[in-house]
Amino acid sequence: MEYILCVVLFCVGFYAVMAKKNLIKIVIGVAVMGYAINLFLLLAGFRMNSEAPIITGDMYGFRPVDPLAQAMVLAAVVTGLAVTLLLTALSIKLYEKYGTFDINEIKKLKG
Amino acid sequence: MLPLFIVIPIIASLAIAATGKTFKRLSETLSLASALSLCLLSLQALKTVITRDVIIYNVGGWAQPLGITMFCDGLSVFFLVLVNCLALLLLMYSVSYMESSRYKARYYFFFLMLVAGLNGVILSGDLFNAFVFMELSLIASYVLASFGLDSENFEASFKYAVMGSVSSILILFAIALIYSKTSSLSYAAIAESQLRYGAPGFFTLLIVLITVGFGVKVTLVPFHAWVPDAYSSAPSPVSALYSGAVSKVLGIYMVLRLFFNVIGTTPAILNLTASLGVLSIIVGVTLALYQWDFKRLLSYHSISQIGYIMLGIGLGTPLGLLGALFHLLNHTVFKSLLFLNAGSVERATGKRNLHDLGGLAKKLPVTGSTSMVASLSISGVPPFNGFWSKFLIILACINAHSYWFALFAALGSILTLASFLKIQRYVFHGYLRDAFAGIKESPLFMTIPMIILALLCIFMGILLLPGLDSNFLGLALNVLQHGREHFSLIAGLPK
Amino acid sequence: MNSKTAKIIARTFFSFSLLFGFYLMAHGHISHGAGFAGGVLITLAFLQVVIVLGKDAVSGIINRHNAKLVAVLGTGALLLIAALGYFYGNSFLSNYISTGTPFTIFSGGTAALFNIALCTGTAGCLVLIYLSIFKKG
Repeated sequence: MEYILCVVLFCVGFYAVMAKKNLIKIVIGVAVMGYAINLFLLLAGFRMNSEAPIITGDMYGFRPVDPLAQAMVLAAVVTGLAVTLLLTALSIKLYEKYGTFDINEIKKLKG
Repeated sequence: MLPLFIVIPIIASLAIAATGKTFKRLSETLSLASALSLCLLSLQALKTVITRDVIIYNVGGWAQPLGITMFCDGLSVFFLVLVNCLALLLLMYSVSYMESSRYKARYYFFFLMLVAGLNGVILSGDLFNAFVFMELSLIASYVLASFGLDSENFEASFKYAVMGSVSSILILFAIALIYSKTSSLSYAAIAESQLRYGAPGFFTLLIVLITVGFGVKVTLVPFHAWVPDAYSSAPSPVSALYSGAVSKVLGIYMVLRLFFNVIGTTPAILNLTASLGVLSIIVGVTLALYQWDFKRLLSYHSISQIGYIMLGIGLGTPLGLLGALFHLLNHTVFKSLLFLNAGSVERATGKRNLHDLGGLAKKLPVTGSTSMVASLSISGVPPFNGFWSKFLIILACINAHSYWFALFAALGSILTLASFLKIQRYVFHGYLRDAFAGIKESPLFMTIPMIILALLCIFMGILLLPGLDSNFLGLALNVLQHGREHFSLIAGLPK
Repeated sequence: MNSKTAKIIARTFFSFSLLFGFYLMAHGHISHGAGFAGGVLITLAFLQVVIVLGKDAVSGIINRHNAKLVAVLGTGALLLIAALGYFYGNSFLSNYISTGTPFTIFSGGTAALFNIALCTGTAGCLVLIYLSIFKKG
């Protein structure tokens, strides 16, 4: 049931990348697509009737949710952050060169 | 020994980042020293793999299945030698090419980070490690595409970055699906699991995601829109690295590893790959006929030649795989040589449009002659190396009864020859313009890599002889032919 | 920014957010997340001062040179700890400090030191990126 949220987020991000003309909206779309896939990774590690995977002291009958999925999501979040930073820096440089954020105006390379 | 391939470039790049602006020649010396040591280490790894079949290294001392392993078998060492030796030649070329740039320290920093990321992808033993190193090398390459600071470079880099990150997200989706089904990330554990036997729609979804996600990296045809802008806006050694190493390692090595050793494919998917390859051949060559910008034309031909490699992979027969691997090696050599020639011409004359150039063969003798060698290689003229690999691929097509594929491959070769005759006529022969009367040949650091690559073009056909074949190409081919039992075969070997 | 409220709050909360960031960083090997949130919080503690009080007012301490120094030191310490594992332990990145009683701070072995080096490197890099992109404040 929660997987529908992943699909909705992914479609929203994909629509933003494809159909929007503002550079910043495209960057936000890429970031939102990344969040959708991270959510899917987290949901893939869910176990029924389990609790958070933090051990404090000795625990009896401890059944954690899968912690490896959470470690993967952390690495993916950091990577997505780096890519978003780079895209933002490129957008600022493009604005300084062209004076606009519209991708219809930024079309010097053709063919 | 295996972590050294990643640690040496990272330490060198950090040292360049910290002190590159204060000392004059430090960045060039450090990067050349690290590239030389990487090249020697990769040859040492080749010798070890020939005698001992595989090198396995457990990071942190944690054995499987708890820890991350790095391993190097026949297929990995093939790509390792390719990437590191190419990086050495290109760094030697960059010493003179980037002489007049203000951003030398940053260039060498990102170049070495790119090499470190590519080595990490080749040597990693599990999926998520490969994904993280792939992202590292991709971020470095997004930045390198925008060096030069014209407005077009930023547009090309932005387009490349958006398409690359969308495809990385699709690859992460595929990794999430694999993890949810097998609850393991290492290649060995996934290869032994029952991934293929389940709901058939699941496997199809996985394979389609991998094809689309890695197809953007491999520059297959429906996903090639970023290639002409990115390859022509980057500085020339970086373009040579893109077409010679990045698209091969991030795309083709991962596709080979996943399709043949880890997940396995169905004949329908291999047929789809071969069809996309043939489509790339024809579309790349046809669109190249309209181009008058030197580097843009070369980038369209890069798309076309990668189509040959995907055609060879898609056939699935041993002869086709051998042809694809050999064409991969040859394409790196002659396409890098062509990009280096384009850079040399641009540095000497300042122009890239074919209409503005002419008659440069007398003024730039080394560039002209090596360009002739590379053009004959890419068109498949015997006895240069391009001929042997294209011949193997067309022969494999005929053996597999795909006669239409063979016809299109031969047609692509003829159109490639037409395109390169156009380049030769417009750039190097014809009358010399008055503005170019005073240009000289490129300096020594730029001509030595070009001469070395040209000699490799002429003599690399001998790699198909029986003695050398089993030691280099045959190693990689054996790994691919083992299929999904490969990891259980190497698990029993001592370190 | 021109409002007095923002400036007073930025000055007061600088030390609190820095302290909280150090707490998250030091406990990185016990909680999941490896303390990366601590590194980001330290970055934001510095960045809020830069944004609110203006770039010129704080450029004595928070400038590009110092940020680059912190970033290179953090990453260099990371590689140094990993390489020392190669010489003293059995392989790269292995453990060579004794692990104490579990669930306390001094219990992670090299993972704790690794964590601290990683997070200071991240903080330095992110501050450097912000200062490089936005030249006009």
